[in-house]
Amino acid sequence: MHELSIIQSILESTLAVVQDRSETCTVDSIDLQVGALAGVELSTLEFLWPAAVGDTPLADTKLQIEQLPGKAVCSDCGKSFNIGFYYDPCPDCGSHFLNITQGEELRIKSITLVSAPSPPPQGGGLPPNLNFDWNEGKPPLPGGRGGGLTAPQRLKNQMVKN
Amino acid sequence: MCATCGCSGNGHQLKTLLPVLKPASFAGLAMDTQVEPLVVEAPEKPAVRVQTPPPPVKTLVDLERDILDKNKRMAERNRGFFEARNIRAINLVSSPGSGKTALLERTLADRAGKDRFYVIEGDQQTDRDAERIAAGGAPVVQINTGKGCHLEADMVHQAIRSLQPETDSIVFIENVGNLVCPSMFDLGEGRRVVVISVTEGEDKPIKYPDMFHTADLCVINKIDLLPYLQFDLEQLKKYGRQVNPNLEFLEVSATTGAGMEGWYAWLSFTV
Repeated sequence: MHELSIIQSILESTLAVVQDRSETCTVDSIDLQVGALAGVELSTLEFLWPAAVGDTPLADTKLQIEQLPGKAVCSDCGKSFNIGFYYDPCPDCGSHFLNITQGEELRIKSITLVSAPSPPPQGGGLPPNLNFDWNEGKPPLPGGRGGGLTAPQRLKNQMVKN
Repeated sequence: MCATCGCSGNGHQLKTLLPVLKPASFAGLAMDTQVEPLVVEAPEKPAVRVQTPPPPVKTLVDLERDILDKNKRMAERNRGFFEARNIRAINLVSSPGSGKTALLERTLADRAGKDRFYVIEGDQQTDRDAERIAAGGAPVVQINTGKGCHLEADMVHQAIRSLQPETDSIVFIENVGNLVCPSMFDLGEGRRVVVISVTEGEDKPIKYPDMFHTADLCVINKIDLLPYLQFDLEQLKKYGRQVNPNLEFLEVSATTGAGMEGWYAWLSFTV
């Protein structure tokens, strides 16, 4: 279930961008690029997304994922070909010495922000809470680490000095 | 330039989509119905303009940022620390029960007085592994990941701040027993070692290719059990090299000590 860690990283990066903006804005969509060899199960990612962002400012944010096929160049014969798995051999010479040129990507390509209508209505409520703290989320996420990113805090110093 | 289609001409003919009205005399052509003139009424302008808020503005922010960027940066900090102190940091990964802790126990016992060891133990729960290591006399930190399935670089960072490993020492990071998730998370280690026992299937490398693809060494443990099993060592290596042609292999038994000299020789790698 490392997909939950990945979602946490996406949230942190996105919220950092939002907080750096001078104007109040919400996040309309996040565009990811995920390679076929990146080791991420997209269906798990999409399944977890609504639950993971439910109590965050990204609850209504759309997650758009572009899948990138794996590509490799054979180090022995120079053949370029598409690769689905790390154990795929070169189709020409059968070599496993490959230079992976695409497919290991796991990145946030872009995010689309929507600036809130201005001027803000008089007394029209508070702006969305963008100072959201993931660690405040109680109870912990389903299937995630207990209490979010608190593992270092739970790190037990069982140090035994000689 | 024409604003309609971008051509260089200036007299672009717009096609009208309205029906062409015929003169009344045209109706004599065996048509019973009269064509009613089409009247297009301009909508009445409201007397008072309602002030609508400006539409929300969408802004695309190009990030092009690795999702695991934060972990990778922390891992590089760890790596820099290890390199500066000439510390050999080894990330031990495997499925649960392959014998990572037994391998460490044996190593600590056999190499006592020859190498200085520090151990970071990662488990979901309990301090049992740390207690086993501590019994061998090495400084150890136990990280409990709770429901987490892998160690991340920030956890290791905290642990090495606590351990304060000496120059020229060896730091073993025993990851959570899991052949999937730990492969994605760089901890800043100098070498990654995947441990597999002969009681597992020889097709593990192609079933869990990510882990074997990222490892430097594959330690095949429990070889003392080979006489009792149908395990094809060469097939395991073949599968391993399909996923990672640079993967090295060592055959050991942490219980009997067979093959451990090769492991100790490997441990002297240059940072």
